Formats: sequence, C-alpha cells, structure tokens
Amino acid sequence: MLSMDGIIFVVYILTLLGIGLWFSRRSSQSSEQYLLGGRSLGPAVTAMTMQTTAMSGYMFMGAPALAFQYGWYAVWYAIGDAGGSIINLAVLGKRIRRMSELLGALSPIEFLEKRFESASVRVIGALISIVFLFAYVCAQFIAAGKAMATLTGFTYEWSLIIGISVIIIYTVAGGYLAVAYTSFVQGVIMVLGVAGIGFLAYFHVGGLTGLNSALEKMDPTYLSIWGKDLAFYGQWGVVLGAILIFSIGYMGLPHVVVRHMSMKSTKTVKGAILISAIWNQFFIFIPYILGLISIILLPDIKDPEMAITQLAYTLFPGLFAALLLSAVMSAVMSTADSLLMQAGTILSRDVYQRFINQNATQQTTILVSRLCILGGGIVGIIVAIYEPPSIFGLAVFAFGTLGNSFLVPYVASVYSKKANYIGCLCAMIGGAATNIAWTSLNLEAATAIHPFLAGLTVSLLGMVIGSQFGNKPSQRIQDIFEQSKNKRFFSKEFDQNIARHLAPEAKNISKFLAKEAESY
Amino acid sequence: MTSILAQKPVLAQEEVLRGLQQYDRRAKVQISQMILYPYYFFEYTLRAKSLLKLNGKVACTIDALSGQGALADVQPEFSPSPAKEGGMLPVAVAKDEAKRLAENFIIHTLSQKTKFLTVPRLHLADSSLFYRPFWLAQYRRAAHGQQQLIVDAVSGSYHPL
Repeated sequence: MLSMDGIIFVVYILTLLGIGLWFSRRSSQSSEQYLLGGRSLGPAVTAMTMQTTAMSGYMFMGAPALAFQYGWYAVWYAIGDAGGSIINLAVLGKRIRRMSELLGALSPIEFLEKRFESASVRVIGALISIVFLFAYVCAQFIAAGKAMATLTGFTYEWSLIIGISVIIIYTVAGGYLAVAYTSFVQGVIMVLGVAGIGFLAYFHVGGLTGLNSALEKMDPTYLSIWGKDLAFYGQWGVVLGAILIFSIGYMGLPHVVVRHMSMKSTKTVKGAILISAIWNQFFIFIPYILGLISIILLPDIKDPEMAITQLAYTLFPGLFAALLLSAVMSAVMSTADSLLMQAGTILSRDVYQRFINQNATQQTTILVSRLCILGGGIVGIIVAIYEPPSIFGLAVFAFGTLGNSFLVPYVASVYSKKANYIGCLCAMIGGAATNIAWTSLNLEAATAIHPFLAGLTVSLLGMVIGSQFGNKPSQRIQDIFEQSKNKRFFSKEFDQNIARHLAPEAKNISKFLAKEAESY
Repeated sequence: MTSILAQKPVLAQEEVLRGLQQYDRRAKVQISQMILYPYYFFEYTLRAKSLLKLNGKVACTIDALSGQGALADVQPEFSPSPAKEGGMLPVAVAKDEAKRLAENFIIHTLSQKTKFLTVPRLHLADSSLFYRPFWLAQYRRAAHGQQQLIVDAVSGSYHPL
C-alpha cells in the first residue's frame, strides 16, 4: 500500500506528464512551428529551466551531507563551484574564445580537436566523458532511491529499483516530454521550496551568528577551515583540490551543442542568462548552509544525505514536504535522463560507429544507444545496491576525472605554442588515470594529497614530456596561436554578445573575401 | 539573369548600426556590403512510437559550405530574387550530400533530445537551396584600429571575421 506521500508523488508525476503532453501536442499541431526548434519562451521560463537543469541529486543530498560531516570546511567546494564560471571567463575565457572563433570550433571538445589537429583527442575525450557521465548518473540513482524510500516507505533496495525503472522508462520511452514548461513548474516548486527551507531554518537557528555559536558549543572545530576534528589540518593539497575541482571540472563537461537558426526575426532574451547566473551563485551555497543547520536541528539524523528532506518535514506541513520531495525526485530523474541520453549517444556514435561498425545504419546506432542506456541502468542498480558510495564522493570523483583530463590541455592550448597532440593525449589520459587510481586506492589518506591535485601534476608532466615527441603544431595553428594572443579588440559588452555559433560562417566569409581581394 | 531563393533582410543598415552601437557607443561602425550565404533547407514530417506518440514536423538547415546543421524554429519565407554578381558565396556541398547530412543531423538531434523506443520515420516534405543575407561591417575603435564583422540581417547576431 502506498503512503500518502507516495500518492502525492504519483499525482505530481501525472500532472507533469499532462503538462508535457498538452504542450507537445500543441506544438506538434502547429503548422508553422517546428519540433525542437526552441522558439522564444520568455526570460522567466528560460531562466527557471536553466536553473532546474543545474539542480541534481548532488545539490539536494551530497552537498548538505558534506557540510554535516565536516562543518565549514565544506564551503571550500562551494567557493570553487561559485568561482568556476568566473575562472572560466576571466582567466582562460578570452584567449580560448578568440582561438575558438579563429578555428571555427563550436564546442570545447571540438576546440581541442582542432587546436591539437587530432581526431584521437575527441575519442579520448568522449571515453573520459563516459566515466564522468556514469559516475554522475550513479549518484543520481542513489539519490532517486533515497527519495523514493522516503516517499513510498519501501526499503532502499526496492525504492532504488522502482526509482531507476521510472528513470529508464522516462529516458527511452517517454515521448517528447522534456518541454521547457515542465521544467518551469518543477523549477518554481524547487526554488520556492529550497529558498523557503533556507529562510525558515536560517531564522530558526538565529542567523549566521546563532548558527556559528551553536556549532561552536557542539564542537569548535566545525568552524575551522580544516574540517571537523581538524581532519585536513595543514593539508593545503586537499584544500586546493577542493577549490579547484568544480571550477575546473566544468570545462570538460560533454556539451550537447545543437545549432539553432531563427528563420524570422526574434528579440533575443538576454536577461535569462543573467538571472540564471545570479540564481546559480545563490543556490550553490544554500545546500551547504542547510547541512550546517542540520547539525544543530537534526543532530541524530541517521543519513546526512537526507538532511534537506528531513528539514522539509520538520519545518513544513507534510503535504508541502512531500511535494518538494516529489520535485526533487523528478529533478533527479530529468538530470539522470539527460546524462544517460548523452552517454548513450557518445557510446553509439563516438565509440561504436567509429571503431566497431563504421557502416552502422541509423537504426543500429539508435538501438546501440538505447542498449547502452539500459546497460548503464543495470550497472547503476548493482553498484547502488551492493556498494553504494556517497553521492558527494561520486560527484567529486566525476568532476575530478573531467578536470584532470581537460584543464592542462585547455591551458596549454592557448599558453604554449609547442603543445601538440601527443602532449594533449598524455595529459588527458595521465590526468584521468591518476585520479581514478588515487581515488580507488585511497592514496589521499597516505599522501595528504587530494586526488585532483595528484591528477593535475601528472597531467602537467604528461603535457610537457609528451609535447617533445611527434609533429610540431602546423604553421596555421601557430599563426592562430599568435593571433589569439592579441589584446581584446572589442569592448567587453560587445565581445560578450558575439554569437559564437556563427564561427563557421565567419570563417567561410573571411576566406571568400580574401579570395575576392586576391583576384582584384 | 538567374534567380535564387533568398530570405529578406529584416534588419536595415540603420537598425544594425543602432544595435551594434548599443554595446559600444565609442566605436564607429560602417556597413560596407551585403553578403548572401547559401544554406539548404530540409523539412520533414516525423513519426515515432513510444509509450506516447511523437508526431510533428521538424526542419533544419545545412550550411552549403561547411555542411554544419542547424535546427530551424519556424517555417521560413523565401522569396525569389536575382542572383548578384559579387558578394554571393559559392555552394560547396552538393544537394545529395546535404540531404544525407540533414538526415544524420536530425536523427542525431532527435536521439539526444527526444525519447522514443522505435526509430523515428522521417519523410522529406520540402527542400530548397536558399541564401541568407549578412551585412559586412567595419568596426573602428580609436587607438585600436579596425576589425571586420558579419551581422546576420535576419536575427541581428554578429561575429568578427
């Protein structure tokens, strides 16, 4: 028999399904508008949709659990996360953007492939993305199992199987439901819910001052930057790794880049990105703060990963808490679903079609992609039942592997003229392999060096040593390298609004004009 | 004179100049010419089965020089116009090749963005070669020199050369 909360969840999912169906039917009936074309939705809907995508099992369960365990030390990770986009834009952004324009590259991986003039870079990048995607999917699965267990009252194992089955069905057989309006409804509930819990809990403990004095009374080391019981005292390698991990990992995320062309004039929604960026900064810190608050309000909680959920049930009437948890569960579902789809596509196109069956038909490729999703689901269930790692640990591992593979190649691509494809491949493979080995053998405990920092060092060595071998970058790349060093020509605002998707057109027009000039 | 299909420029020179100057008032921008860029347009009807049906129309463009695909949002309007002497980029991708690229692009995008069990059936409903207008602009900043830009005359997006 389903509990009341379980019924709320089912009703919630059915309502989302209804909204999705209604909008997709409306758009498929439209004679003028095309499916997937993504015509403007207005800034509020766009911003809320972007926000929902950023919310995952990690945010709701992993981050508060870390803060619950280590106290204020956990905020190092949030600082790195919040600073990520700033590092990306301010430090590397300008040169990479300029070089991307000159190379006509549309995505980060395509940028590396073109800069290092090697298709292997793309393949290795794809394989490393798979490690990341499956680790992150596994974290979502565990989160789904826990959320379902609270909602249905079943055991974790049964809830996990139900939760993952719902995700798999949603991923491969749900029709075109991923309409922005569904995300919008979810976004509104989650943003209001999390902000509501944050607000109530914050005043409940007497603000930051109240929180800190209560923490100090329980154990003063909760306030230390070195973690509870000074677990990481003097270990700058660990702290540096914590700050860098999220800020850098983002650069290697496998991006789904689909170009869009507006066939009629539209007013561009510039506000959306700004609103979303501000919200992101705000929401990065809330889960950690809620983890700290739960040390005081829920000191006996059995599973710190359920801190936000428990706080919701403590501070809100049951109905609202169940509604929030349903929204969390469906956020987890949509994150897991898009990660699985990406993993399926990468495996079928970049691995199967490239290495195993080059003449594969579209049907076979899609079948392989769907089978990979199913396989991933089954592996996920096994790992999550028999050897469930912490959601936080999985997220750090996933981002660490990405960051270790991609940071050095990105930096070297714009700062070292000598960096070549052998160096890039050594850096990517060396960095990822070191992180995987360091994490699985728990070498952090023996060396006091965060796996991320270890991976970074090996990746750097790989780039320096590897670039001594193989061919030098071609003259064209060397010229582009020199050009991208030039100071930014445009004003900041003008530069930020350049439409990067027009890079291929710009490159072709440039060639055409040069040819025309020659013929005169 | 040969006739081509083209999109009508939505943004006139003055609007482009005003648009660009809102980001940088001190820059001097001048428009030198219009360039016509070739694309193929493909419109498909789509049917796929899953727990729920996925029916509708989907369309894309294929860049006739680089072969890059882009999803189209709404049904476009092309009007016949005489081919220009200069400022019109030559087509480098043949129509059959463009058709193959378009199908690949649509299937790839569908497999990432939609959820279905069976392989979607695509039926080509419409296709054409068309030209999209771009303004070529000179952007000058005192003490910095000058830089050329292209501005999409339909959407207003811009990119330096």
